[in-house]
Amino acid sequence: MIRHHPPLELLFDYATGVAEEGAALVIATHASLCASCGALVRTLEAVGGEVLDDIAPEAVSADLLPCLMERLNDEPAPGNWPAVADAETRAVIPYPLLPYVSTGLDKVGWQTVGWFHQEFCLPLADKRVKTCLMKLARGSIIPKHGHGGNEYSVVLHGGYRDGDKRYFRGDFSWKTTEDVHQPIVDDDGDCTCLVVLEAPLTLTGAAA
Amino acid sequence: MLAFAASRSSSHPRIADSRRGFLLASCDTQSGACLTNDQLCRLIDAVAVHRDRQAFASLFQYFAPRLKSYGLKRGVDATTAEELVQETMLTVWRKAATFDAGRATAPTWIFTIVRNKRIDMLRRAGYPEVDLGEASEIAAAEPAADDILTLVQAGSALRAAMTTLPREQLEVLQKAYLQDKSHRVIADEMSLPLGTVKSRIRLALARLRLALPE
Repeated sequence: MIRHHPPLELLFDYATGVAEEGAALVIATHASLCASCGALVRTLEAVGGEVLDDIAPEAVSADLLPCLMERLNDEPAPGNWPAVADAETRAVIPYPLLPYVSTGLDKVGWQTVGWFHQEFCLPLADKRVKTCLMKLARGSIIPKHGHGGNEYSVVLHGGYRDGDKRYFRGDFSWKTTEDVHQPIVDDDGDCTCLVVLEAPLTLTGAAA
Repeated sequence: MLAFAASRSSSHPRIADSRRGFLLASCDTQSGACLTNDQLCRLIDAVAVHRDRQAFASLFQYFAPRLKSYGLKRGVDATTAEELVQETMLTVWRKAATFDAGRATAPTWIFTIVRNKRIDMLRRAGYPEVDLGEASEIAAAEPAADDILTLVQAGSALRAAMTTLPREQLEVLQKAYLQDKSHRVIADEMSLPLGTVKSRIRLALARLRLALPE
């Protein structure tokens, strides 16, 4: 049961195509795990379909279709979909993230950042934000921190608690420069999240 | 095609004015301008199953002028808009087999493709897609007839609901879909407070959601 959802504005920005790359990835990931947000995104896209269908058409150049038909000659016959990763990876990684971990979750370049923390930065085109998978060890207490910009995240595996709220697979979190928090990973296993950071975290002191 | 383009005013077409296809029999069939969603879905299926070029050309006739218009409205020049048309239609050719008529109408599917392609072209970055039918497993997932019926009903409900939106809500909504602009820029252009733009979008979406079966 997913309890934490993105606000409508973010889903709307995703559907209309104005969301930045990292934010779009988090939204698409959440919406792939959350039936209600997935349905909402489909509805918002259906509105886009209606808007497109009702647009005043613009005549295209006469040679556009012949030129395109010519290009079809060079198209290979559609092959089978490439086999994607292993079953274990498929069980954790939703569709929008699969292109980044097609080699399998255990084979991506995890980097050890601290005692309790490994991360794998996704190669997005937008280098202004940090977009990564974070793997946090069971029971770890993340040092209390604030945010220099927006932070969006989705839990992929395991869970954590943050104040009086608990987060599990599919749950979405959005923190802004206003927020200071100290997540604590559940004791029953590691927790893997997709995290997008628009600016570095700011440590606010020792774990309290 | 030209005749059809000229018959529309260049200002925002009211949705109610342009509900062709489903009900209107008298339209320019030469331009392919009045195909129903059913017909469009069958064309996509013919492309998927038979690599049917004639069906593809019909899809092109229908969608290319709309796609070009989308590109122009979203601020690219005419040449780039036609490149966008080509790239979008090539994707239609390549991915026709992944189209699932139980999940989206044909225009909705094409909307998501052109939205993503425009971002690919502009940012040189991919736009992540929401679980598009778990592409690798799609062959096994034939939608039940009931689901398709529900989708068709939802589609008509959505269209009907859009025709009842107050003009100012529809206008803001269309701007949000057709222009690469933040709510802030839309607000400035329309000389409205940002809060008003946001609330119009919220109201419009709430109204559209109410119209849809759960």
